[in-house]
Amino acid sequence: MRSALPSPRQSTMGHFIAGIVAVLVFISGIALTAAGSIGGLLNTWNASVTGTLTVQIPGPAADADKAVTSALHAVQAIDGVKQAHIVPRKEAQELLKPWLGDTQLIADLPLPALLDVELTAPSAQSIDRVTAAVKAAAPAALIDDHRVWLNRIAEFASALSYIAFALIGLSLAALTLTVIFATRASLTEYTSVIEVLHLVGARDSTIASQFSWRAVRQALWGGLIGLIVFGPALLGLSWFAKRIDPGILPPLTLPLAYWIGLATLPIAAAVIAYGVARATVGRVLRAMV
Amino acid sequence: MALFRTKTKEPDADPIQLEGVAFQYGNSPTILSDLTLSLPAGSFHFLTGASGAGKTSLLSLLYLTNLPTGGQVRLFGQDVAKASRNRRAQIRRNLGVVFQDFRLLDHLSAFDNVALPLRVAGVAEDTVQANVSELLRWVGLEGLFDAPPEVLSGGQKQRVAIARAVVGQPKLILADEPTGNVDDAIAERLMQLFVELHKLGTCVIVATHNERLVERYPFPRLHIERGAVSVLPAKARPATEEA
Repeated sequence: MRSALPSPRQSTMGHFIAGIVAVLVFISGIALTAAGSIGGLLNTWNASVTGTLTVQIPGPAADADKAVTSALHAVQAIDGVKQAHIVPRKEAQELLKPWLGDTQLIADLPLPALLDVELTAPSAQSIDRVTAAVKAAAPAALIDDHRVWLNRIAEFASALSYIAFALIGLSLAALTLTVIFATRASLTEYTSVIEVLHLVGARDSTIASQFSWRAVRQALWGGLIGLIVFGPALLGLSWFAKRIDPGILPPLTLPLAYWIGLATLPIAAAVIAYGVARATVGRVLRAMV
Repeated sequence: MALFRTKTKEPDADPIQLEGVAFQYGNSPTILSDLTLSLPAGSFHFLTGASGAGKTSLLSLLYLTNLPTGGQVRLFGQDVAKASRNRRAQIRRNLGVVFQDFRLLDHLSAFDNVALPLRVAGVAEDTVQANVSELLRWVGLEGLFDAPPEVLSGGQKQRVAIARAVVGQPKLILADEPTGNVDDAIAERLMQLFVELHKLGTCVIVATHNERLVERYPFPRLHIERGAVSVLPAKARPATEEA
């Protein structure tokens, strides 16, 4: 049946639903991007850090260098160590330059001697064996297997992900409430239309369809606008991310699931709009004889 | 007119059967009590009574805006209180209702308002175009097909409302003061529409305060007084019907 409802351009509620959906899809897109990139970053960090140990031997340079050489020999003899190498003092000093500047101060700093160890297959046992060997060769050595800070970052990242997903959930909840409100408001606006359709013999499902498909069109339209506005925001975010040192922030890689999720946002909005509009109109119609 | 060529198929049961019907709004006093009557297909009745006597309440039971608070309303043999919602929608498609306040849709043109029952019933669009055009011309609204109700006069709106009620050639027509806003010539033309449908087998009830109308047509009256309905003979001589 041809629609008996005023066209969306005559309806203020139509603009309202589309506008709110656009904003909510934009917010959900940001949240989804946050969730997607945190997961990606964590994986990148994990891959680059897991299986490596850093041994620090503090003390006067001559003693420390001697101790680090014995530690290197001890470590190389262990099964499961892929490779180990002493980080030259020059290299360690170079790493400090961006933070402290190119000054004599760096050369005077009592830097520890550093030994990088890479394990073939990282496990608690192999880490324990390396720790024991290093401690035997150089009792003053401090061993960092990165697990502590990585775990903390992972916890922080997980918390951020949960917040991002909660934000998506809240956006969808806000969308549902908005569609309920807008549909009810338009029902008041169109009470006479519903009554007349009812009186000329239109079935409840026919009347409900008119409202629900209109809500779907408005939600899809709003969702697309939200995505279109979100596009430049995503490009901007990725441009800023690229400017950060890859050592601190590895290149952002967003998984396929992210892109699918992003494309699904307007569809999810449309599905919610359809269900809510249909249920709301159905309830109003059932109050009629 | 050519639009209503076919005789309405005689329904198996009387279009209207009331058995001990009572009606009241909530806890307010009873408006209708113990109404029992049966109106066959092809009958024509005026519905008369003082204002507030219950004419509109009775019509609201017949066009299914309200259900009786007692007794049974059967339309086309179907107890409306027990009918499913889809069945009631089907019953409504056999009704043509003219409301006192017209109930036209303001955002639709005169044409689309009249076409609404046909489109709801799924009638083919070329048939819709042909029938609605013919009917609108017949009620004197040629040239106003695209006009929205807001630009129409009271009388023109009334004609659109009547055209919407009869366009589907319903089996039962319920008209509440259908000639209240038009001059005598137009009133005569609109009554002819109802009379023609009645001759083709449609059951017609016209609620009116217009004594001249009642005196002019030879149809019996359903008179409501103190919540009860009595069937009174026609005021006009039968010869008027043939005029």
